[in-house]
Amino acid sequence: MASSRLERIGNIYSRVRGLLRSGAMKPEDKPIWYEVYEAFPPKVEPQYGRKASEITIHPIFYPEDIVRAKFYERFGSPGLISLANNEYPTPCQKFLDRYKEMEKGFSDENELFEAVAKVMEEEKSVPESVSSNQPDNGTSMASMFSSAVSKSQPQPKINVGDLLTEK
Amino acid sequence: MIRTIANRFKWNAARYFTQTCSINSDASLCQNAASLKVDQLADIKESELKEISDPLKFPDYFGVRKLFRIKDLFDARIHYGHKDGTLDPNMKPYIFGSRLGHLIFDLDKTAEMLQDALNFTAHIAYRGGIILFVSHCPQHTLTVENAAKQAGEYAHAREWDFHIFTNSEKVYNGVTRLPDLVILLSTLNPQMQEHTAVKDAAKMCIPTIGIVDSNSNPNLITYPIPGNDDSPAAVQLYCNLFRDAILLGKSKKPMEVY
Repeated sequence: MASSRLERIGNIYSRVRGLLRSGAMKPEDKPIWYEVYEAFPPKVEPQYGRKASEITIHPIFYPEDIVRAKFYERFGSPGLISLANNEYPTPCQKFLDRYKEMEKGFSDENELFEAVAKVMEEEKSVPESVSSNQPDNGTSMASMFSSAVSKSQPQPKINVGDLLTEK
Repeated sequence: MIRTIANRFKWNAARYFTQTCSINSDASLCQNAASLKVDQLADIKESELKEISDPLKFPDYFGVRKLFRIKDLFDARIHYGHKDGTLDPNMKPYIFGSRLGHLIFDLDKTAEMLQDALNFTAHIAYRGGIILFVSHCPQHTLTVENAAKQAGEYAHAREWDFHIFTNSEKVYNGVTRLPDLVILLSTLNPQMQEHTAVKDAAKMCIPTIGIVDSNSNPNLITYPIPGNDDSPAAVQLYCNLFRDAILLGKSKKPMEVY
Protein backbone atom coordinates (compact mmCIF):
# COMPACT_ATOMS: atom_id res chain seq x y z
CA MET A 1 0.00 0.00 0.00
CA ALA A 2 1.38 3.39 -0.96
CA SER A 3 1.82 6.21 1.47
CA SER A 4 3.11 9.73 1.42
CA ARG A 5 5.47 10.94 4.12
CA LEU A 6 5.86 14.51 2.95
CA GLU A 7 4.55 16.35 5.98
CA ARG A 8 5.53 19.76 4.59
CA ILE A 9 3.47 19.47 1.43
CA GLY A 10 -0.24 20.06 1.83
CA ASN A 11 -1.78 18.24 4.75
CA ILE A 12 -2.68 14.63 5.50
CA TYR A 13 -6.08 14.98 3.87
CA SER A 14 -4.78 16.39 0.60
CA ARG A 15 -2.11 13.71 0.38
CA VAL A 16 -4.45 10.80 1.05
CA ARG A 17 -7.00 12.25 -1.35
CA GLY A 18 -4.28 12.42 -4.00
CA LEU A 19 -3.29 8.82 -3.35
CA LEU A 20 -6.89 7.65 -3.64
CA ARG A 21 -7.56 9.60 -6.82
CA SER A 22 -4.43 8.39 -8.54
CA GLY A 23 -5.20 4.81 -7.58
CA ALA A 24 -2.06 4.33 -5.52
CA MET A 25 -4.26 3.64 -2.48
CA LYS A 26 -7.22 1.34 -2.97
CA PRO A 27 -10.64 2.46 -1.71
CA GLU A 28 -10.75 -0.42 0.78
CA ASP A 29 -7.48 0.82 2.30
CA LYS A 30 -8.98 4.24 2.94
CA PRO A 31 -8.04 5.35 6.46
CA ILE A 32 -10.70 5.44 9.17
CA TRP A 33 -10.39 9.15 9.68
CA TYR A 34 -10.82 10.13 6.03
CA GLU A 35 -14.59 10.33 5.96
CA VAL A 36 -14.74 11.91 9.39
CA TYR A 37 -12.29 14.60 8.24
CA GLU A 38 -14.40 15.22 5.13
CA ALA A 39 -17.54 15.59 7.23
CA PHE A 40 -15.89 17.76 9.89
CA PRO A 41 -12.85 19.54 8.47
CA PRO A 42 -10.80 21.68 10.86
CA LYS A 43 -11.59 25.39 10.91
CA VAL A 44 -8.02 26.20 9.90
CA GLU A 45 -6.39 23.83 7.43
CA PRO A 46 -3.12 22.48 8.80
CA GLN A 47 -0.24 23.58 6.64
CA TYR A 48 3.44 23.43 7.51
CA GLY A 49 4.70 26.71 6.13
CA ARG A 50 1.69 28.90 6.74
CA LYS A 51 2.87 32.45 7.43
CA ALA A 52 1.87 33.90 10.74
CA SER A 53 -0.78 36.59 10.51
CA GLU A 54 0.17 40.17 11.32
CA ILE A 55 -1.94 40.65 14.40
CA THR A 56 -0.87 42.92 17.24
CA ILE A 57 -1.47 41.57 20.71
CA HIS A 58 -3.28 44.24 22.69
CA PRO A 59 -2.55 44.74 26.37
CA ILE A 60 -5.51 44.08 28.65
CA PHE A 61 -6.28 47.01 30.92
CA TYR A 62 -9.38 47.90 32.84
CA PRO A 63 -10.49 51.34 34.09
CA GLU A 64 -10.12 50.00 37.66
CA ASP A 65 -6.40 49.41 37.12
CA ILE A 66 -5.61 53.04 37.88
CA VAL A 67 -7.33 52.74 41.25
CA ARG A 68 -5.55 49.44 41.88
CA ALA A 69 -2.17 51.02 41.16
CA LYS A 70 -2.87 53.88 43.57
CA PHE A 71 -4.07 51.43 46.19
CA TYR A 72 -0.93 49.33 46.06
CA GLU A 73 1.27 52.39 46.11
CA ARG A 74 -0.45 53.64 49.24
CA PHE A 75 -1.13 50.47 51.15
CA GLY A 76 1.23 47.88 49.78
CA SER A 77 0.47 44.25 49.34
CA PRO A 78 -1.29 42.32 52.13
CA GLY A 79 1.19 39.48 51.74
CA LEU A 80 -0.27 36.17 50.75
CA ILE A 81 -3.33 36.13 48.48
CA SER A 82 -4.92 32.80 47.58
CA LEU A 83 -5.87 33.06 43.90
CA ALA A 84 -7.88 29.85 44.07
CA ASN A 85 -10.15 31.09 46.84
CA ASN A 86 -12.99 33.20 45.45
CA GLU A 87 -14.93 33.48 48.69
CA TYR A 88 -13.16 36.25 50.54
CA PRO A 89 -12.45 39.54 48.73
CA THR A 90 -8.95 40.91 49.08
CA PRO A 91 -8.41 44.37 50.60
CA CYS A 92 -7.95 45.77 47.09
CA GLN A 93 -11.26 44.30 45.93
CA LYS A 94 -13.05 45.72 48.95
CA PHE A 95 -11.49 49.09 48.23
CA LEU A 96 -12.68 48.95 44.62
CA ASP A 97 -16.22 48.06 45.68
CA ARG A 98 -16.31 51.01 48.06
CA TYR A 99 -14.79 53.25 45.38
CA LYS A 100 -17.59 52.38 42.97
CA GLU A 101 -20.21 53.05 45.64
CA MET A 102 -18.83 56.49 46.46
CA GLU A 103 -18.01 57.45 42.87
CA LYS A 104 -21.13 59.48 42.29
CA GLY A 105 -20.42 61.98 45.06
CA PHE A 106 -17.10 63.20 43.70
CA SER A 107 -15.87 64.69 40.44
CA ASP A 108 -12.15 64.70 41.14
CA GLU A 109 -10.44 61.28 41.13
CA ASN A 110 -7.84 62.18 43.75
CA GLU A 111 -10.42 63.56 46.14
CA LEU A 112 -12.50 60.42 45.73
CA PHE A 113 -9.47 58.24 46.36
CA GLU A 114 -8.56 60.11 49.53
CA ALA A 115 -12.13 59.95 50.76
CA VAL A 116 -12.41 56.20 50.19
CA ALA A 117 -8.98 55.64 51.76
CA LYS A 118 -10.07 57.56 54.86
CA VAL A 119 -13.28 55.58 55.16
CA MET A 120 -11.53 52.26 54.77
CA GLU A 121 -8.76 53.16 57.24
CA GLU A 122 -11.34 54.07 59.79
CA GLU A 123 -12.99 50.73 59.28
CA LYS A 124 -9.57 49.11 59.40
CA SER A 125 -10.35 47.08 56.27
CA VAL A 126 -7.02 48.02 54.72
CA PRO A 127 -3.47 47.61 56.05
CA GLU A 128 -1.77 50.71 57.37
CA SER A 129 -0.42 52.88 54.65
CA VAL A 130 3.17 52.37 53.57
CA SER A 131 4.96 55.71 53.23
CA SER A 132 8.65 56.47 52.95
CA ASN A 133 8.50 58.99 55.85
CA GLN A 134 8.03 56.27 58.44
CA PRO A 135 10.65 53.56 58.12
CA ASP A 136 9.70 51.95 61.43
CA ASN A 137 6.06 51.60 60.52
CA GLY A 138 4.73 49.10 58.06
CA THR A 139 5.69 45.60 57.05
CA SER A 140 7.79 46.25 53.95
CA MET A 141 11.13 44.51 53.64
CA ALA A 142 13.05 47.77 53.43
CA SER A 143 11.58 49.15 56.62
CA MET A 144 12.09 45.88 58.50
CA PHE A 145 15.69 45.69 57.39
CA SER A 146 16.50 49.26 58.35
CA SER A 147 14.88 48.82 61.76
CA ALA A 148 16.81 45.58 62.31
CA VAL A 149 20.09 47.26 61.44
CA SER A 150 19.46 50.11 63.85
CA LYS A 151 18.47 47.75 66.66
CA SER A 152 21.30 45.25 66.22
CA GLN A 153 23.93 44.96 68.98
CA PRO A 154 27.52 45.77 68.09
CA GLN A 155 29.37 42.51 67.43
CA PRO A 156 32.28 41.66 69.79
CA LYS A 157 35.51 41.79 67.89
CA ILE A 158 37.18 38.41 67.60
CA ASN A 159 40.94 38.24 67.24
CA VAL A 160 41.71 35.04 65.41
CA GLY A 161 45.33 35.17 66.48
CA ASP A 162 44.33 35.12 70.15
CA LEU A 163 42.10 32.14 69.58
CA LEU A 164 44.91 30.14 68.05
CA THR A 165 47.57 31.12 70.62
CA GLU A 166 45.35 30.31 73.61
CA LYS A 167 45.75 26.67 72.87
CA MET B 1 -33.18 -9.27 6.30
CA ILE B 2 -34.93 -6.16 5.21
CA ARG B 3 -38.16 -7.30 6.80
CA THR B 4 -36.63 -7.38 10.29
CA ILE B 5 -35.53 -3.79 9.94
CA ALA B 6 -38.93 -2.87 8.58
CA ASN B 7 -40.52 -4.56 11.59
CA ARG B 8 -38.59 -2.28 13.87
CA PHE B 9 -39.93 0.72 12.06
CA LYS B 10 -43.39 -0.78 11.78
CA TRP B 11 -44.79 0.49 15.03
CA ASN B 12 -43.31 3.91 14.39
CA ALA B 13 -44.75 4.09 10.90
CA ALA B 14 -48.11 2.78 12.03
CA ARG B 15 -48.24 5.38 14.77
CA TYR B 16 -47.33 8.16 12.35
CA PHE B 17 -49.97 7.22 9.83
CA THR B 18 -52.68 6.64 12.42
CA GLN B 19 -51.93 10.10 13.75
CA THR B 20 -52.41 11.61 10.33
CA CYS B 21 -55.53 9.58 9.86
CA SER B 22 -56.97 10.72 13.17
CA ILE B 23 -58.67 13.60 11.39
CA ASN B 24 -60.92 11.06 9.70
CA SER B 25 -63.17 9.25 12.07
CA ASP B 26 -63.15 6.07 10.02
CA ALA B 27 -60.86 3.71 11.93
CA SER B 28 -60.80 0.94 9.33
CA LEU B 29 -59.59 3.32 6.69
CA CYS B 30 -56.67 4.31 8.94
CA GLN B 31 -55.70 0.72 9.56
CA ASN B 32 -55.64 -0.09 5.86
CA ALA B 33 -53.55 2.96 5.15
CA ALA B 34 -51.04 1.98 7.87
CA SER B 35 -50.60 -1.57 6.60
CA LEU B 36 -50.10 -0.32 3.06
CA LYS B 37 -47.35 2.07 4.11
CA VAL B 38 -45.51 -0.60 6.13
CA ASP B 39 -45.22 -2.85 3.08
CA GLN B 40 -43.77 0.03 1.15
CA LEU B 41 -41.24 0.55 3.96
CA ALA B 42 -40.01 -2.99 3.40
CA ASP B 43 -38.95 -1.94 -0.06
CA ILE B 44 -36.63 0.76 1.26
CA LYS B 45 -33.10 -0.27 0.55
CA GLU B 46 -30.69 -1.07 3.31
CA SER B 47 -28.34 1.62 2.07
CA GLU B 48 -30.97 4.31 2.37
CA LEU B 49 -31.71 3.29 5.94
CA LYS B 50 -28.02 3.55 6.73
CA GLU B 51 -27.95 7.06 5.32
CA ILE B 52 -30.82 8.19 7.47
CA SER B 53 -28.91 7.25 10.61
CA ASP B 54 -25.33 7.95 9.52
CA PRO B 55 -23.58 9.68 12.44
CA LEU B 56 -21.58 11.83 10.05
CA LYS B 57 -24.71 13.61 8.92
CA PHE B 58 -25.35 15.09 12.35
CA PRO B 59 -23.36 18.10 13.57
CA ASP B 60 -23.06 16.70 17.11
CA TYR B 61 -24.15 13.06 17.06
CA PHE B 62 -22.45 12.15 20.35
CA GLY B 63 -23.38 15.29 22.27
CA VAL B 64 -19.81 16.40 22.98
CA ARG B 65 -20.98 19.97 23.32
CA LYS B 66 -22.55 19.13 26.65
CA LEU B 67 -19.27 17.91 28.09
CA PHE B 68 -17.96 21.31 29.09
CA ARG B 69 -18.81 24.97 29.48
CA ILE B 70 -16.53 27.97 29.10
CA LYS B 71 -16.61 28.46 32.87
CA ASP B 72 -15.05 24.99 33.29
CA LEU B 73 -12.22 26.08 30.99
CA PHE B 74 -11.75 29.24 33.03
CA ASP B 75 -11.74 27.42 36.37
CA ALA B 76 -9.12 24.98 35.08
CA ARG B 77 -6.88 27.97 34.14
CA ILE B 78 -6.85 27.09 30.45
CA HIS B 79 -6.74 30.75 29.46
CA TYR B 80 -3.26 31.29 30.93
CA GLY B 81 -0.52 31.44 28.31
CA HIS B 82 3.16 32.07 28.79
CA LYS B 83 4.79 35.49 28.57
CA ASP B 84 5.02 37.87 25.61
CA GLY B 85 8.59 36.99 24.77
CA THR B 86 7.94 33.27 24.18
CA LEU B 87 4.95 33.77 21.91
CA ASP B 88 4.99 31.72 18.71
CA PRO B 89 3.75 34.02 15.91
CA ASN B 90 1.39 31.32 14.64
CA MET B 91 -0.55 31.46 17.91
CA LYS B 92 -1.44 35.15 17.55
CA PRO B 93 -4.98 34.60 16.24
CA TYR B 94 -5.89 32.66 19.39
CA ILE B 95 -4.62 35.18 21.94
CA PHE B 96 -7.16 37.47 23.57
CA GLY B 97 -4.57 39.92 24.87
CA SER B 98 -1.64 40.39 27.16
CA ARG B 99 -2.21 41.18 30.84
CA LEU B 100 0.98 42.84 32.10
CA GLY B 101 3.09 40.56 29.91
CA HIS B 102 1.11 37.38 30.50
CA LEU B 103 -0.76 36.14 27.43
CA ILE B 104 -4.41 35.24 27.79
CA PHE B 105 -6.15 32.87 25.37
CA ASP B 106 -9.48 33.71 23.78
CA LEU B 107 -11.67 31.06 25.38
CA ASP B 108 -14.43 31.47 22.79
CA LYS B 109 -12.07 30.25 20.10
CA THR B 110 -10.64 27.58 22.36
CA ALA B 111 -14.12 26.29 23.14
CA GLU B 112 -15.03 26.07 19.46
CA MET B 113 -11.85 24.21 18.56
CA LEU B 114 -12.17 21.94 21.55
CA GLN B 115 -15.69 20.98 20.44
CA ASP B 116 -14.41 20.13 16.96
CA ALA B 117 -11.62 18.02 18.40
CA LEU B 118 -13.92 16.15 20.81
CA ASN B 119 -16.40 15.49 18.03
CA PHE B 120 -13.64 14.08 15.82
CA THR B 121 -12.39 11.91 18.71
CA ALA B 122 -15.87 10.52 19.32
CA HIS B 123 -16.34 9.63 15.66
CA ILE B 124 -12.97 7.88 15.47
CA ALA B 125 -13.79 5.91 18.63
CA TYR B 126 -17.18 5.01 17.17
CA ARG B 127 -15.48 3.58 14.09
CA GLY B 128 -13.15 1.45 16.18
CA GLY B 129 -10.03 3.52 15.69
CA ILE B 130 -6.97 3.22 17.90
CA ILE B 131 -6.35 6.41 19.86
CA LEU B 132 -2.98 7.22 21.36
CA PHE B 133 -2.53 9.80 24.12
CA VAL B 134 0.93 11.36 23.93
CA SER B 135 2.58 13.62 26.46
CA HIS B 136 6.17 14.03 27.47
CA CYS B 137 5.70 16.18 30.55
CA PRO B 138 6.73 14.00 33.50
CA GLN B 139 4.39 15.89 35.82
CA HIS B 140 1.34 14.67 33.90
CA THR B 141 2.35 11.13 33.05
CA LEU B 142 0.01 9.57 35.60
CA THR B 143 -2.98 11.71 34.59
CA VAL B 144 -2.56 10.87 30.91
CA GLU B 145 -2.01 7.16 31.43
CA ASN B 146 -5.03 6.89 33.74
CA ALA B 147 -7.24 8.69 31.24
CA ALA B 148 -6.15 6.31 28.50
CA LYS B 149 -6.80 3.29 30.71
CA GLN B 150 -10.28 4.52 31.60
CA ALA B 151 -11.05 5.18 27.95
CA GLY B 152 -9.80 1.75 26.95
CA GLU B 153 -7.22 3.29 24.65
CA TYR B 154 -3.45 3.72 24.60
CA ALA B 155 -0.97 6.20 25.99
CA HIS B 156 2.68 7.05 25.44
CA ALA B 157 3.65 9.42 28.21
CA ARG B 158 7.33 8.62 28.40
CA GLU B 159 10.38 9.49 26.36
CA TRP B 160 9.58 9.12 22.68
CA ASP B 161 11.55 6.46 20.80
CA PHE B 162 12.30 8.09 17.49
CA HIS B 163 11.28 5.36 15.09
CA ILE B 164 8.03 4.24 16.67
CA PHE B 165 5.88 5.52 13.83
CA THR B 166 8.28 5.78 10.93
CA ASN B 167 10.00 2.43 11.33
CA SER B 168 7.53 0.60 13.53
CA GLU B 169 7.95 -2.84 11.99
CA LYS B 170 11.65 -2.88 12.79
CA VAL B 171 11.22 -1.46 16.30
CA TYR B 172 8.50 -3.92 17.31
CA ASN B 173 9.78 -6.76 15.17
CA GLY B 174 6.49 -7.54 13.48
CA VAL B 175 3.48 -6.25 11.62
CA THR B 176 2.11 -3.23 13.44
CA ARG B 177 -1.03 -1.19 13.21
CA LEU B 178 -0.40 2.48 13.83
CA PRO B 179 -2.90 4.60 15.78
CA ASP B 180 -5.73 6.23 13.86
CA LEU B 181 -5.63 9.34 16.05
CA VAL B 182 -2.94 10.88 18.22
CA ILE B 183 -4.01 13.19 21.07
CA LEU B 184 -1.13 15.33 22.31
CA LEU B 185 -1.59 16.78 25.76
CA SER B 186 1.48 18.91 25.17
CA THR B 187 3.18 19.50 21.84
CA LEU B 188 6.54 20.26 23.44
CA ASN B 189 9.04 17.92 25.04
CA PRO B 190 10.94 18.85 28.21
CA GLN B 191 13.63 20.44 26.05
CA MET B 192 11.03 22.97 24.80
CA GLN B 193 11.28 21.61 21.26
CA GLU B 194 8.42 20.33 19.15
CA HIS B 195 7.50 16.79 20.12
CA THR B 196 8.60 14.23 17.52
CA ALA B 197 5.11 12.76 17.43
CA VAL B 198 3.75 15.89 15.75
CA LYS B 199 5.99 15.55 12.73
CA ASP B 200 5.88 11.76 12.63
CA ALA B 201 2.09 11.58 12.76
CA ALA B 202 1.92 14.10 9.91
CA LYS B 203 4.39 11.95 7.98
CA MET B 204 2.40 8.75 8.51
CA CYS B 205 -0.92 10.46 7.62
CA ILE B 206 -2.28 10.11 11.14
CA PRO B 207 -4.56 12.96 12.27
CA THR B 208 -3.48 14.73 15.43
CA ILE B 209 -5.33 16.65 18.10
CA GLY B 210 -2.99 18.78 20.17
CA ILE B 211 -3.13 21.25 23.03
CA VAL B 212 -1.00 24.11 21.77
CA ASP B 213 0.29 26.56 24.32
CA SER B 214 1.40 30.07 23.41
CA ASN B 215 4.97 28.89 22.78
CA SER B 216 4.01 26.00 20.46
CA ASN B 217 3.55 25.85 16.68
CA PRO B 218 0.06 24.65 15.65
CA ASN B 219 0.74 24.36 11.92
CA LEU B 220 1.30 20.63 11.64
CA ILE B 221 -1.53 19.66 13.98
CA THR B 222 -4.82 18.68 12.36
CA TYR B 223 -7.11 19.91 15.16
CA PRO B 224 -5.14 22.25 17.40
CA ILE B 225 -6.66 23.42 20.67
CA PRO B 226 -5.09 26.65 21.92
CA GLY B 227 -4.82 26.56 25.69
CA ASN B 228 -2.67 26.08 28.75
CA ASP B 229 -0.83 22.76 28.79
CA ASP B 230 1.21 23.27 31.95
CA SER B 231 -1.25 23.45 34.85
CA PRO B 232 -2.19 20.06 36.32
CA ALA B 233 -5.80 21.24 36.55
CA ALA B 234 -5.85 22.04 32.84
CA VAL B 235 -4.33 18.69 31.84
CA GLN B 236 -6.78 16.88 34.11
CA LEU B 237 -9.67 18.65 32.42
CA TYR B 238 -8.45 17.80 28.93
CA CYS B 239 -7.89 14.16 29.89
CA ASN B 240 -11.39 13.93 31.34
CA LEU B 241 -12.95 15.51 28.26
CA PHE B 242 -11.16 13.24 25.80
CA ARG B 243 -11.87 10.17 27.87
CA ASP B 244 -15.57 11.10 28.00
CA ALA B 245 -15.67 11.76 24.27
CA ILE B 246 -14.11 8.36 23.54
CA LEU B 247 -16.52 6.58 25.86
CA LEU B 248 -19.46 8.40 24.25
CA GLY B 249 -18.24 7.32 20.84
CA LYS B 250 -17.90 3.72 21.94
CA SER B 251 -21.26 3.66 23.72
CA LYS B 252 -23.23 4.10 20.52
CA LYS B 253 -23.21 0.79 18.77
CA PRO B 254 -23.35 0.84 14.99
CA MET B 255 -26.75 -0.12 13.60
CA GLU B 256 -26.85 -3.90 13.35
CA VAL B 257 -27.61 -5.35 9.98
CA TYR B 258 -28.30 -9.09 9.97
